[in-house]
Amino acid sequence: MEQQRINLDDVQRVIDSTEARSDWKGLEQIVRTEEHERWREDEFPHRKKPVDVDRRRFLQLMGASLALAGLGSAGCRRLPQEKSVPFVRAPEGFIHGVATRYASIHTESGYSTGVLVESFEGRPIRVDGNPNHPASRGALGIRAQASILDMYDPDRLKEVHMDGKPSTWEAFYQALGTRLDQTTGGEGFVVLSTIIGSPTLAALKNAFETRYPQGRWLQYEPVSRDEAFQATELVYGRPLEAAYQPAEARVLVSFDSRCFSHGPSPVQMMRDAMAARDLKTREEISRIYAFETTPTGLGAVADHRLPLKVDELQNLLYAVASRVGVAGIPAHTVPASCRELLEPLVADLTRHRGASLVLAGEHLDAPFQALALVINEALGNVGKTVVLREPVLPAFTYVDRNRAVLDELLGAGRVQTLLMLGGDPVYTGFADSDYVNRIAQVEFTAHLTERKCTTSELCNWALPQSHFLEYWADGVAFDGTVSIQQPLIEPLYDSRSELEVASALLGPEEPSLKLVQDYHRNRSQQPDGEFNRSWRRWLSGGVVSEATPQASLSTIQRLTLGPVEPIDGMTLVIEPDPSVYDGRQANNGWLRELPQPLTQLCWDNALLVSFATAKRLQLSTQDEVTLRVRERSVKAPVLVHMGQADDTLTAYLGLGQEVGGHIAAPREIVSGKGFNAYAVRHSANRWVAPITGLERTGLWPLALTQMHHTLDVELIDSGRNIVHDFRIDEYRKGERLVVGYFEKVAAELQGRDPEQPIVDEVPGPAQLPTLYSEDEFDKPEINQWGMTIDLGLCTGCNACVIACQAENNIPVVGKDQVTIGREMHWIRIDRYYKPKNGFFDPSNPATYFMPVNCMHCEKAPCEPVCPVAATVHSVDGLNQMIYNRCVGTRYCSNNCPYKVRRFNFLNYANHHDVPVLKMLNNPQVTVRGRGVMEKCTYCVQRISKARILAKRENRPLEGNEVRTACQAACPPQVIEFGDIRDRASKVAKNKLNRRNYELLQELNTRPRTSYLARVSNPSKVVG
Amino acid sequence: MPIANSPKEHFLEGENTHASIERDITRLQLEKNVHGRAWFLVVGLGFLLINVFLLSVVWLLFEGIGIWGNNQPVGWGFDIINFVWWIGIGHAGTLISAILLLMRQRWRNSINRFAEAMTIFAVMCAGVYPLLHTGRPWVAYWLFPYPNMLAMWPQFRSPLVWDVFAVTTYMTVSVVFWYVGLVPDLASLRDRAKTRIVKLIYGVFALGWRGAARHWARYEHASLLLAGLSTPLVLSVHTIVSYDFAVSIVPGWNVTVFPPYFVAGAVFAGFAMVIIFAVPLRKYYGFERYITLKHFDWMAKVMLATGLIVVYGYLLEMFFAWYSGNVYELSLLWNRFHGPYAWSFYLLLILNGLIPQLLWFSRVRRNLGLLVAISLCVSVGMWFERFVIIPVSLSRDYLPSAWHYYTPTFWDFAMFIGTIGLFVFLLFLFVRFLPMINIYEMKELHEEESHAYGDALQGARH
Repeated sequence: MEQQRINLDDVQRVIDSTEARSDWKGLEQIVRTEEHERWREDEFPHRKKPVDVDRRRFLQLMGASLALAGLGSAGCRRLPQEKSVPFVRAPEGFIHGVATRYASIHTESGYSTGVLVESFEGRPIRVDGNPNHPASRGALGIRAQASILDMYDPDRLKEVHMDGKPSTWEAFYQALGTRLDQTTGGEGFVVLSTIIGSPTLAALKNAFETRYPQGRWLQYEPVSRDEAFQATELVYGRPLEAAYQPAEARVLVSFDSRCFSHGPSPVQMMRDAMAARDLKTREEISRIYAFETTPTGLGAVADHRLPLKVDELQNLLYAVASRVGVAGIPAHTVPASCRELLEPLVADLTRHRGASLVLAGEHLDAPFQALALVINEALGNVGKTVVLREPVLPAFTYVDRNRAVLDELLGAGRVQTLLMLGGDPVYTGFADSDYVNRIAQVEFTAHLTERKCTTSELCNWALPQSHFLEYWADGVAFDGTVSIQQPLIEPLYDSRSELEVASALLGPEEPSLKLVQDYHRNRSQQPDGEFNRSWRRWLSGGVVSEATPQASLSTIQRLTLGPVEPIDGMTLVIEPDPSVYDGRQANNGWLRELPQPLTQLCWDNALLVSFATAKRLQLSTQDEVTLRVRERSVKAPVLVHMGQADDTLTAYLGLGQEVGGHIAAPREIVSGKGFNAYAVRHSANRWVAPITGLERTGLWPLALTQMHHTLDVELIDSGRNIVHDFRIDEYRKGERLVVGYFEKVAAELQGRDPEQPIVDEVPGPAQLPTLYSEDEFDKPEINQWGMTIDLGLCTGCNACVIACQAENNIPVVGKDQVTIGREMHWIRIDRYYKPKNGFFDPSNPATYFMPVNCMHCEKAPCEPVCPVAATVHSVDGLNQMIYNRCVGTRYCSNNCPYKVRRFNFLNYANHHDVPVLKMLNNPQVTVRGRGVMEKCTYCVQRISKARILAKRENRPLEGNEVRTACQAACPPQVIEFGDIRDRASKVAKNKLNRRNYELLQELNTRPRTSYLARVSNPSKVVG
Repeated sequence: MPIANSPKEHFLEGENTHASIERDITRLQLEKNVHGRAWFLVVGLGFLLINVFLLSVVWLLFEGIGIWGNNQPVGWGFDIINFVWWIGIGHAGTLISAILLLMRQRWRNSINRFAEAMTIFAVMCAGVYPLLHTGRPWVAYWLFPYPNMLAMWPQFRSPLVWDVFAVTTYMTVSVVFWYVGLVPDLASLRDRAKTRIVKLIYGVFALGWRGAARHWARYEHASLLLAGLSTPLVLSVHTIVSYDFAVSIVPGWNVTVFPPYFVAGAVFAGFAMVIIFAVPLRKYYGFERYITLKHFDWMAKVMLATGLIVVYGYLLEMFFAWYSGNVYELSLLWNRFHGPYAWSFYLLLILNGLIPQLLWFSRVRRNLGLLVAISLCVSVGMWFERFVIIPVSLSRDYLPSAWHYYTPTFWDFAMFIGTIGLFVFLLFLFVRFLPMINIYEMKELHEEESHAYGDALQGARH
């Protein structure tokens, strides 16, 4: 493979162009101009010239040659072995050194989310949300953001393998052609794809089925929404796509819904549900009831939350249904813990007809999800908060029926050729599907895959699959919005997409761009010129079409419901992992090291056990147990989880892989392998299964970022006042909610009531008496940056953490380093449990999320203790970290009361052995070496960029202009950033909000980051 | 110092002459077969541990601080514990040589040389840590104010910069004081040396000392001035070390009692270390006549007094945590008694608070076995005091979400044991090559004690 050479002519062109624009001072200095000479002479008029080339000139030449060397070598290192970076196809107006953004989509289980991908000189470096796209509106979830790392994954399959030996695509296509020619009408030929979200791929599927009527094209994924579609079929007679608009709901009731972590549109659900709770924009906020088996972000923000077992959930659904007027509900018993809550809940629902929403978890049996729909129907919510459409997926099918067909075909030995496009069916298959043996028996097997996996190991052909940023495709969002998937880079390796491979079934392989364009040209029926214009618009906007209209609904069918079957013994609830989903991103270090919401567990997955159940079974966190379900067993670590329903254990899918890369399938279990929950998943119990055995077998160390203090929490939080929350009636009193101790003292000294808001207050940290100089920031012409974090809206989804990691080149340190407390995240989401009504209930504590990044204290304790002035304050209020100056005494970190500083104990950012990972680095942010302290910078590179732009346009920098990475990614818009002295900025308004408070205000560090206290809206009837 | 010093008291035992004293002390340097197998064993062990030390330094430079157990939030662990511990151990030497000299405590004469040497070696062991505990030790010189093109000074508000000045000053003054004190004895060695080479080496270092009256006069002046210079150092060094903590805002560090409490602790630990090494050396080399039971008795009394100040410091810390009503301080106190490291706090109270109370009894003070055992307890206890202050406070500070345990690693221990090896090795080389007891002061003492005009002589000299 050849190395990418840097053409010196290109460099010259850069120099010329920058000279012409004359805003780049660095390089033009090597060009001699008279003016420049004169200026040079003036600076040192009395200087003697020792030799012809004087020192300054020498330095200039040295600087220039070093700069060129930097360009050259950096380029070579970024593009090591791979053919890459289509500079030749650079879009018009390409400016060297300036990042460009392209709209594309990220697709998960068929549903796509619009993204904007930032590309720096041909290298995609970050995935952000697309504000035009309904599933994103600018924010983005963790998996889509982290997907950029998958592209640079050194474990990717790089070439075609046939029976373990390197081969070529030509050889594969030849072999595939022979197989196709041998079949009569496709008999015995099965294509197994993942859930199809691409209309183009669906068209190829149709073409395949027409050409080969005996062939089969099946779709399989371990996580599918079959029960949700069955529910609509039960109610309306046909499968329908349900989308929700929680922003309109005044009352939201969740029956174990996981809509914040996965599903068709988790970002949209979070944003809309929390928009209804935003006291900054509305006076009345919604009320959330959550009944759940496993604690979720939705449950944490709920006003009323109860842990319920699966049968209790079903009973409660019946109870609610019968009370809101649904006929034909069988006899049921209201769970004891819900009795008090049931009446106010029903009253709330009936009071807000058309403005309420009942959500049922998509893992619940279809009749129960149907019942939730019927309740919504009875409350008049359908068409308002619930929107039903014809299925939006272009090749909609019941995935589990596909799976049954595949099992049957394989079992009968009727599959001779099996072409698998993506996925990992062998690993993700049900325990009873036995794909390991059955697929091995198929004559000809081929698997298109990004990484080697369990399936590809079994197949004749392992085919490298392109990453979604490497090929053209299209996709649909939860509401039917179609978007084009735009590639950002030529494939790094010799890989193909499923579109290209599918096209090879019908003739010679065609490039993905042609396939997608042809499909949309046909669909839109536009003449070429018009189509080209539309195409450009679709690409730049990221959206092809609007949402599909609502389905016209016939009368609803009457549900036939049986009595709830009481569950004896323990139940296993199976869920996709909040981070790696079904395991497809298990080799992604960012996602694996991400402390999972609520559990704060990194690297592994664990069996979540309630406090009471663990006590009864004498289990504790980090115990290893053998879990038995239907004669299958797996060894798993235990994590005692506050708020988990008793006797209900939760297992996350996706880890414990045997093949799949260094991170997904490490050799040692201590590296964070996790356990494989698929091993105990039976096709008859897709989501909920009875546990037949559970015994303790040993120890399994877990890497938890926050662990030991859940029980002595009463001691901890009494008086610490870290998270504040108030009931809505307290908020309505109109007083300032949180008044710090010193603030009270100061107010008393001034003879005013501390709880009354100060009318002419300056936005910013409370001005308490200090011994340090006071006028440091009294420069009206300079922006003063600050941040607010609204604790009322945070759902703990971690989007900010990954966004920060991607933006700021934050390294992954590994399970062993996390275990000893050396994780590097610049922003963390703290989780606190609080006693409710005066006592701490481990079965259902009040749960709080608190994102914590550097507070950028005006009187920062870290600054005076640094012996070398490596951390100092800027005039615009940033607490800066000067990496070059840092000697690494760690004193600053010791003295930081918020403990937001991170130290490079080892050479974490070292990618010498995996050069491809270097391509991922954001060139705007220094990569920190060993022995250096680092921390949140308020995305200073973004501030600088905006400031330079404003200066160039000769205008002041507006208060809302800069958006930090965490702020941009946050689905519920918890984080606000801007100029706190600019009264028009959102952050200044927040700082004057009555809910505003500073963390540890009594230390008088005057933090620039402040918090808005959470306000809950519980029903008055319940205490 | 509260110790009375009657002129009638005798600090030398047995029949002595000037020649016998000189011969007796210098035989360690000049005669063969004085240092038996035990000396070689100890030096060999020290050398072995030095290699452990070097190995851990090389690995540290190669891999980074990550080989230690330090983490987030515990930025300082063994590195700073050991630094403070070693600096503290040095304090006995300075106290004996400076303050006791100014106070004309003649009993100091037989132990000062030896204690001063311990000071220097302890400061050497201590000095290793601030340098190597930095993430990038190759740029640690930035902590020094030196002229540079960036016009960049250290950040003078940081106690770590004060530390640099305090420790380097301490080291310099201690070495100079010690060397100046050695000059007359080096001349004695030169004069008694039997081979040319040895004569030459000692001669060079003796700086041409001839014992002339003018020499003695200048010598006495220099000693007095250096003692005056050293005296504030006894207080200042550990005061400044305590500022590393007291200036910060970490609960458990931000304590105003720290400066006196640290100084007392340092003297406490220093005397313990002197006793630990003095007892076996005295016995092994038969120096009972110079270092008498009375010496140990008085050293034990100093330990008892400083130990009580330390205990008073503990009580004050607890009282102020309670009296302040500050939730973080209270929580820290609770953590010390009930937290995950409670054992270390109880250990500290027993070793530093309870066990030294045995020293109230003169029978204990004069029982050398017991005294060494108590001194060992104090040494360990003072190490745990720093453990309780440094990692235990850091592991649980303001935000519970950031709390994390601290567990030292193999390399933490390796480097610590390595510095002990360095200390022992240097100390035994010192015993071999330099007189561990001040010869001329012994002679002077002999004069004073055997002649009636001793007191008059002493009075006339000053």
